[in-house]
Amino acid sequence: MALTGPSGDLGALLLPKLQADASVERILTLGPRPLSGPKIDHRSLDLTRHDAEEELADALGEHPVDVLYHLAFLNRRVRGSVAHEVEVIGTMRVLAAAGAAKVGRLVVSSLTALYGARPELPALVREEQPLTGVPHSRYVQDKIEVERQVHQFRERHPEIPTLVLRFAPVLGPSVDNPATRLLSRRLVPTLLGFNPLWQAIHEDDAALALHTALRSDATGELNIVAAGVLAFSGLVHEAGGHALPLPLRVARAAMRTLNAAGASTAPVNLLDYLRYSWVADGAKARRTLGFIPRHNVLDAARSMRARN
Amino acid sequence: MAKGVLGNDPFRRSAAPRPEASPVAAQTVPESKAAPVKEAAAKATSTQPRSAKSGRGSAPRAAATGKVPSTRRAPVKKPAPKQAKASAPPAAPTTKKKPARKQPEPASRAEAPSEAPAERDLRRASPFEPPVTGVPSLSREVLADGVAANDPPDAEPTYSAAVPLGSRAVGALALVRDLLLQTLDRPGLKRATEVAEGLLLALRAGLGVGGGLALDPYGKDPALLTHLDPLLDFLYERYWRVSVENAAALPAGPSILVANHAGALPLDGPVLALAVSRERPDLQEARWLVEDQVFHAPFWGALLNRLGAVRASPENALRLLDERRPVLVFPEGVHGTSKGYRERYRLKRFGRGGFVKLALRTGAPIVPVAIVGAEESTPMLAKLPGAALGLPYLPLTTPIPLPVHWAIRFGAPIHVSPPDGDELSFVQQLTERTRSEIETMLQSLLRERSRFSQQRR
Repeated sequence: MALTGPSGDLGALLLPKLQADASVERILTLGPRPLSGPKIDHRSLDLTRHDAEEELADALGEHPVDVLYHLAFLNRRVRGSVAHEVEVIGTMRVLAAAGAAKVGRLVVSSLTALYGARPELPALVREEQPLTGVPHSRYVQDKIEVERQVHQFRERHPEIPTLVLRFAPVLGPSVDNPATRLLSRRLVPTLLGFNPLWQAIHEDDAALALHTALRSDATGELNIVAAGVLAFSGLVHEAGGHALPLPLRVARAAMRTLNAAGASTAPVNLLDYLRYSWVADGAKARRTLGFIPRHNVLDAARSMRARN
Repeated sequence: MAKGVLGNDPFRRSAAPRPEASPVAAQTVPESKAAPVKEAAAKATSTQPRSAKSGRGSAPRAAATGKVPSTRRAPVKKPAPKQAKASAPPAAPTTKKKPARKQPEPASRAEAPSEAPAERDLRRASPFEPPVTGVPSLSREVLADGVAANDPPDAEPTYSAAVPLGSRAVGALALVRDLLLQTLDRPGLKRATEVAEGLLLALRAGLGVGGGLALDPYGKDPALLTHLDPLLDFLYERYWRVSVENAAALPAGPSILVANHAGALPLDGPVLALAVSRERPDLQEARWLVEDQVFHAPFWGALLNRLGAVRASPENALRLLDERRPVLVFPEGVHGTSKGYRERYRLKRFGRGGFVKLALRTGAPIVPVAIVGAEESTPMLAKLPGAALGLPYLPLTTPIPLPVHWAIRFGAPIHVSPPDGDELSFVQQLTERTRSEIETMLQSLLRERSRFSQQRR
């Protein structure tokens, strides 16, 4: 089996599970940073280089690959076009190589945040909901573009079962993503008069979901969420922080000022995640993948206290 | 009222601005700050001995004068104005406003203990007065004085002016102690603290800072509702005296309850949901759908969501019906709540017949429901511009819902079968039929109400 993005959060969570799995013979890891360990066959790969596709095709073609995990995504906004190169162009190259090498199965990680946080979302978002994301947020829009490519790949290669796991914010002591960065502050800005419902998933459950996908024949998109929802203020509190409620206008003005001063590139629309509920329905993952999270949302939130 | 406090103190030497200030300050402090009543009460009593020591001969007397009427209704109100006339300096009221906000601290602290007796009084005096406004400001100001005057030992410079008022404060404190002792062993106090706690939690939920740790997937907070139970029971049974007719007509399993929407504040949803759960405990918990403008409104939206409101959308309604719940819809939408008081009980257009389409898709029966009382309980007096809060308008209504009698009548369920011909015209026909049934029920309820009130006269 093969894995892109082995040193990313999800890759690092999944690798030990795969190494411990007796049915896994060999793990081909493809990433920019050197890596070694039992069963691991590492190839240095920079997805932003224009010859990455050939390297990928070579690596994947050496031995037959039963399952390819594509987890090489960024977990923070970066300046310039690197994010776009890695995620959108990189995925294009990975998919092209996977199609050429006829991998057995393809598993791609994604986010429930791609549904966006919008006033017209249903109370529980099912997988069919179109991904609208957040306008002006490249972080989100790039990942939507990735999903679009995966969708096209599935149409072009119906013989390769393709599974997309859309994760709720992954929380835990060892992961780093926008949600954990927000929640590990002592004072977390919230919007006065709004308290949207949030979900989360414990990092162990995220690893479990990825590992479960190894042997499952589920295809399509699946929401990977912990049981239960939390109001954002409750999430902040359980994660060990304090909510700092700001009036919407003040929060907007603050973000605009930061952007104008060049101190931040976060689009103002990101405030929608603090304003409207965004709750995904995890029933399909339970049904088709057989994924039953071990930690509920409260455990996931409390796992944030183990940081530092 | 401030005069009364001044007059209470024959030993007062200097015209300190504080006593005049305190009632105003006490009143301006939002109700919500009345933090855990018990703690505050404990605090008030614990400060007692200290002041008693420093007290002079006037203390028992002041206490005694307070004691006698305190066993009656509205304990402190009677003696106060009398004494005010006797000894209050005429200049006092003019200085009233200026120092008003000088000591918000003692005022808010003192407010907490005042709440308990106040609410008890309310319960005894008139059950149909809302607890929020029922706090007699006089007893509150007396308390405010008591605590504030008691503070000097803590060396807070602001209160130093009140030191000569110590003896007066002792009298007030004795009065407080009496009131507390009287109320402590009453079940009413417990209920009052529960109500206060529930209101506080509701306020926090509305501000978006409240816990929200055990929510259902739609965002309802059962713990909050448990805390609000005493208040809701009071509102439902004694304040609004909700009467429900023909609840037996509600079919078991999923159903779509279609009701008229009214009043400046969307209270009809929660009340109707409460009525269904009380009258038909055998059914699944009912949920009401709320139009976007309200659901996403700051404060109100957050609070209603915690109370169980679900955003009106076909997906949400389908999911609720799948869970075999009664779903309450108000097809007039925001047009229903935004009509003026003159237009009360005149049904607005019934949307696009979404509820009929829902019934066609799910086979759930439609139950027409007429609600009388919501319009008068929060009459729409005017619409203020609400753009600053992100609202289409800010409804101007009475500060608290009025104690009008509510009547809810359930009609016979309409079972919908898919039409042979044009679905669109069928949807419109059925929408119109439901609307006219609600109209008929409304008119007959209103006729009965006016007949009833005439008979009473």
